[in-house]
Amino acid sequence: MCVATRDIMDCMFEACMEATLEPDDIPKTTEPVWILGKKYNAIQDLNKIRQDIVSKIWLTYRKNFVPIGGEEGLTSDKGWGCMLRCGQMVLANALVTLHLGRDWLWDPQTRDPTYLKILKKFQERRPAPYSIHQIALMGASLGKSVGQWFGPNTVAQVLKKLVAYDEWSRLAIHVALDNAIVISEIRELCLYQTKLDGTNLSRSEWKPLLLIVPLRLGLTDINPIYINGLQKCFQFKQSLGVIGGKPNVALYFIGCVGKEVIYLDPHNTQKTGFVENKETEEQIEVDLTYHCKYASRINMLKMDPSVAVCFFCKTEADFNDLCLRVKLDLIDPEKEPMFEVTYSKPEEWSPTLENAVEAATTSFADYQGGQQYDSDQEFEIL
Amino acid sequence: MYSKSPTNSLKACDCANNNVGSMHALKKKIIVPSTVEKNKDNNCNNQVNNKKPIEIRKEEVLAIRNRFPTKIPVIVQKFYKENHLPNLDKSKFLVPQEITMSQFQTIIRNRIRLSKNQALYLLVNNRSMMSQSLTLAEVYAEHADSDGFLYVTYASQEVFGYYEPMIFKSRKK
Repeated sequence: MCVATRDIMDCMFEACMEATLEPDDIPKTTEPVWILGKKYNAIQDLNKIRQDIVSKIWLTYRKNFVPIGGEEGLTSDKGWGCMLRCGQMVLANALVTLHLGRDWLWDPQTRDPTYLKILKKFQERRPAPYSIHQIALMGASLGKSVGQWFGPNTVAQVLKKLVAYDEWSRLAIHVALDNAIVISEIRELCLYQTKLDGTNLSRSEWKPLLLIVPLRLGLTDINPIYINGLQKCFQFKQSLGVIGGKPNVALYFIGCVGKEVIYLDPHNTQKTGFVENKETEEQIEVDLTYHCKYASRINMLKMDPSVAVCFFCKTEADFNDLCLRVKLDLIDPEKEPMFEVTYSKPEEWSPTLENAVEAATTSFADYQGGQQYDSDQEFEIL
Repeated sequence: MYSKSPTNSLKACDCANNNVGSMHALKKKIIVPSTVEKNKDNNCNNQVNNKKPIEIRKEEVLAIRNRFPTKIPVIVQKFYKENHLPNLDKSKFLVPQEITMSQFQTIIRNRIRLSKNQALYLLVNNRSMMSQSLTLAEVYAEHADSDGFLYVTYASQEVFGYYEPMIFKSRKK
């Protein structure tokens, strides 16, 4: 069967599905629906919710693109690119918020040049700064060969490197490891001085910040003590969702309703195309492939425990507000918070002289060796 | 059900105390690799102490605590499904009780020579990350196992990828 016929049949199948089935994207519930920090009523605001979701840039597997890294390279990311696509989605939606605002809505006719400029940065071609090519190759420079699976932290580290080349956005990415947001590190990254015209005075400015907090909320399953915290993460106005997934399947979580998370799924292999200036029918069609009409949901407990929580702080005030809200809503009410906020990096511990002498002079035989049981391994004294 | 009662953890550990149990687990893993073995909130998978009966472990802890009252006996193990992080050369530590979880994490980071951009998580009793500002003494008071050790598992993050099942491939042809 030729490709075109198959695509037409796919379209017909989709149209048929749409006509017969009411999509189950948003449950009919009195509980609020949260989409990236915006609160909606599930019943009254259904159209607004769908409009908000379809406005998010949706990045999926693609096929038949220019080979990655030379002629013999991969031409599709099907099966391995899902976490890379989730990373792209976070960044793309950060750029939309930065350049167009959180309230910006997409419609199929839009030819907004800023929107098209953002979209072009993610298309499947080498010069695009955030293309699958750039991400996979930057990953290779960090030790993940092209085609290897990524975790949330890996894609965050790659994006952090790539934004440095984007003069237009001047975005800063901070990846907060060790479960802590260290305020001084972020201020150092985002604040810079600019000279005021015609004077010797300078003023401090803030680079827009994409803050990514990679976490492990359990070993094989998500620990239910973190559910409250996760819900809160979607409610902050700085929310940029969560990258994570179900086991093996990376997903971009953009909101929640009750104990369920709402996500965009990159597992849909679409053909490669280019929007350019969105002038031809074909280019308009391509634009449609970057937006997902209906999101899906899963229970939070079904999520894989490896996640990265993302926030966008356009201004310094946004960042200060985020720190405050994290403290009030995420840390203070929880016995075991998901992560913490500290002003400066905690000092490294080094043994005192007394400790060191004790460790050096203790003979293990004194208290452990030569006893009735067989100690397979000795203690190390720190 | 998530606050571990001492009796529960004792049972849970004893169930892994004989080698038959772990052999069984091993077999299961080989036969059905796609089935994720559930590692519930206990210290069943500890490889260091599971050969010894609980009485011996308790004695061992008592002896050490007597000798080093300001140090916490900690067992640090790699998560059994972890493929990215190196092994620790030791897994039994006596840790000063006043150091914080954050400092302890840095010690482990340095021990396995992890770069600052690599993710490392310490989960106590295989279930939760501890607040980084807590001291080892505080964590110990709350989470020590009934044998007197504090069990810590380290892991990085899971990776994500997907092999399409054969059915979908043949349907497309």
